[in-house]
Amino acid sequence: MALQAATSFLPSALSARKEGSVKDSASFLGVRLAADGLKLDTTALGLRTVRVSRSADIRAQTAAVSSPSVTPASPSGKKTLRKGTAVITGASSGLGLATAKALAETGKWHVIMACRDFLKASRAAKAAGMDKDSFTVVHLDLASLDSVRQFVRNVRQLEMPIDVVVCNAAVYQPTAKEPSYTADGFEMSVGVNHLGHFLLARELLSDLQSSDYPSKRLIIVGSITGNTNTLAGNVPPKANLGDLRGLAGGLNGVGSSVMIDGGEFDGAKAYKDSKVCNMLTMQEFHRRYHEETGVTFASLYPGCIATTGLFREHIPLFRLLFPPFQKYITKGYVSEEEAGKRLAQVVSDPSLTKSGVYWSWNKNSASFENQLSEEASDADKAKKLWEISEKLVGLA
Amino acid sequence: MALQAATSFLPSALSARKEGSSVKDSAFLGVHLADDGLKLETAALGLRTKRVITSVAIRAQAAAVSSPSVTPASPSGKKTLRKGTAIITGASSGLGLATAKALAETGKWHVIMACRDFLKASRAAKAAGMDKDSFTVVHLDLASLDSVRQFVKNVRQLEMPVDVVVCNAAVYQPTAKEPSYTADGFEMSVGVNHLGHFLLARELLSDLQSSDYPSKRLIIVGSITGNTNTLAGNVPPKANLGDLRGLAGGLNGIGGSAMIDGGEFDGAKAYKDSKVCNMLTMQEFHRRYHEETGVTFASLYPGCIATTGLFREHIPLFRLLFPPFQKYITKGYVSEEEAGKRLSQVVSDPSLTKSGVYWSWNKNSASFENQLSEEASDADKAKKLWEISEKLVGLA
Repeated sequence: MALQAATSFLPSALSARKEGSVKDSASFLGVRLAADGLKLDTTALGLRTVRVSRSADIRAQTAAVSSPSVTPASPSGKKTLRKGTAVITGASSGLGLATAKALAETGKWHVIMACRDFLKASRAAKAAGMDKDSFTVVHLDLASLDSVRQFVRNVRQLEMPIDVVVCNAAVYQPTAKEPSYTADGFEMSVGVNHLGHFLLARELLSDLQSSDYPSKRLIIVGSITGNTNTLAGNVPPKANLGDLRGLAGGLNGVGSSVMIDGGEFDGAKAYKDSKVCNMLTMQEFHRRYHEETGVTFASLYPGCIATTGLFREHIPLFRLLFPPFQKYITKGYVSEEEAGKRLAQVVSDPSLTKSGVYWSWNKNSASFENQLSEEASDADKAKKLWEISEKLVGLA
Repeated sequence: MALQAATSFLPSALSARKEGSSVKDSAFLGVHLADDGLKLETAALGLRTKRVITSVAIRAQAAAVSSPSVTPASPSGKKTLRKGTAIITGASSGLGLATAKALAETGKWHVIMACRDFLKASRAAKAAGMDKDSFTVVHLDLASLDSVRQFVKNVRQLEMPVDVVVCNAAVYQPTAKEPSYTADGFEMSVGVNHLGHFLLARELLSDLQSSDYPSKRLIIVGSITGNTNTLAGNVPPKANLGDLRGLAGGLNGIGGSAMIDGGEFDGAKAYKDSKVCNMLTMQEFHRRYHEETGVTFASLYPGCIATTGLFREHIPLFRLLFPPFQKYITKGYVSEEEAGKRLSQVVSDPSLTKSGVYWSWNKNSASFENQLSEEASDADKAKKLWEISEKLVGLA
């Protein structure tokens, strides 16, 4: 009876392999359930009390059952920090993968690789030599709000705390003549890079808030090209959100524009605009939630990782010439590995807990607080962006 | 208090949008929880009893919250059949999509489209004109056993019954010189077409069993090319499982073979072998579970749908010539739409409830029970296949 009670109140994952569940007895016992139910609930009360005092152990146990390869470290005394959990979007390649690897190698982190191609992510983690207990792949397609919502439910089923969320995934369509759209009808670059992440971050904020980890962070990867106070940001086309009229119109190209400012479609500008949105969103999160929750909100530019798949849709000549151009002419080139280490720093370094910061690194690989452009610092625009985005993703 | 109790005992999906779970917060109350806990659970007892009586209504309510577009029809009296739920793998194109559309159009089915490319599936359903309340896309990548397990948990969170499962997804690599492998190291064709489906079907059998739907079915799509008692099945390379030594070795190509019979890799043969596995599996399910559970197990060959993406990896000349060859020479061609209608017949037609049958259609589109080849009917081989497959997917 105790075991049965335990089963009925533990997450459904524990019953995943049982044929015939408590559900069966519930429907067939009818009134008799009432009497047994009382006993069940009384027993469950005891179980619940135990769970309160030994929550970490129960959590580890549950996790071990629901996902055999996941065994988060249990704390062995007050002074030992438990293994942290970091959700990283777009972790199947480039910066996301390098970061996942850097964190996993420390042995102090479990990485949830949130990727739209499950097989690719599984292979990438294996190829990167990540220990199988250090990561869990969970499907996430930021081009669908339904997928974001499913991801959130799915992650919660893992019964792991969520300590850090890294919004890293991005698409870039520099040569597209016509826009493409997400499942919900938004232009792809802004739909994936901003709106999908906006919903994800909003949903997971409550999980971050309830985590017992000492340093909880929400990190949104930025890009220097969104900042028009730099040389890179002045390469045409320049980012410009205007008055957000296109965004307010839904970015669906039906009766309105697919660009945030209402202008004509430009794939590169759509990407840069989405990055400005990311940086505005980070700051708005900071203003609204940092004091209230203690969560640190940050953005960063790790450097130009010219070798990633972000440029896969560019012409081959660009992909050939861009790395040496960045390496020898602009000196802005950084390897994927180094970029991953930098992002991992922002995830875990105790000295980088200041919130509301846009981090960058100098030539000696030392981090510093960089300045955002005027538009990317515009608090009114950030507020407006937030409110329109809430409506678009169904939060308002 | 009642509302709080309701929240704590309804599926976690209901709390998906709440910031800070109230029950979780009360974990800080310590001993105080004991008193409130008793009240909570007493209230929950009432709720549970109520749930037994109006389980469908509660289920609909839960589903409405967890997935806003899902509203399964409530029964309006004993004689009205509720909307059925059918899971279709590989529903983003070809036969799977045509079947999903055919079922959705009747208004009597809700289709769970289990697909590895979430965006593609969402777009395909929209393009096919499927009503948004008639389907839910859920991610499934059969090339990863972890993804299969996550899918099962994810589907259960939808709080919908599972009435029919259609194992339709397939990959076909006719021109591959070297094998490719799943996330778990199995050769791709057998890993996806057979092993992924084997685990999925085994996991979902308990859901089928506990469904209250009058006709519960597990359908595994076969292929005539796996049957060497037909002309098509004798086109080299012919299917042959041999003594299953390659499968027993794990199909990983390391110290063993990537082919089930231990022979040299052939992409087309791997596909045909996987289809023989599908048909053997259907029959073994029938022998082991039909009498015990009342679930109908069936396979079918809808005809040669020469236009689907199954042949996307073949040479362009084949893709150009194959449709007219099938249409005018062999007369085996069938349109995607017709094939979808045939499969949806096997899903829902009251006259096709016989279990253990390999269904086919004649030229007048009338269904008949077709004969399987000697190997595909071999009960000992089916049993051996079952036992080896259990070990490979971690069920034994």
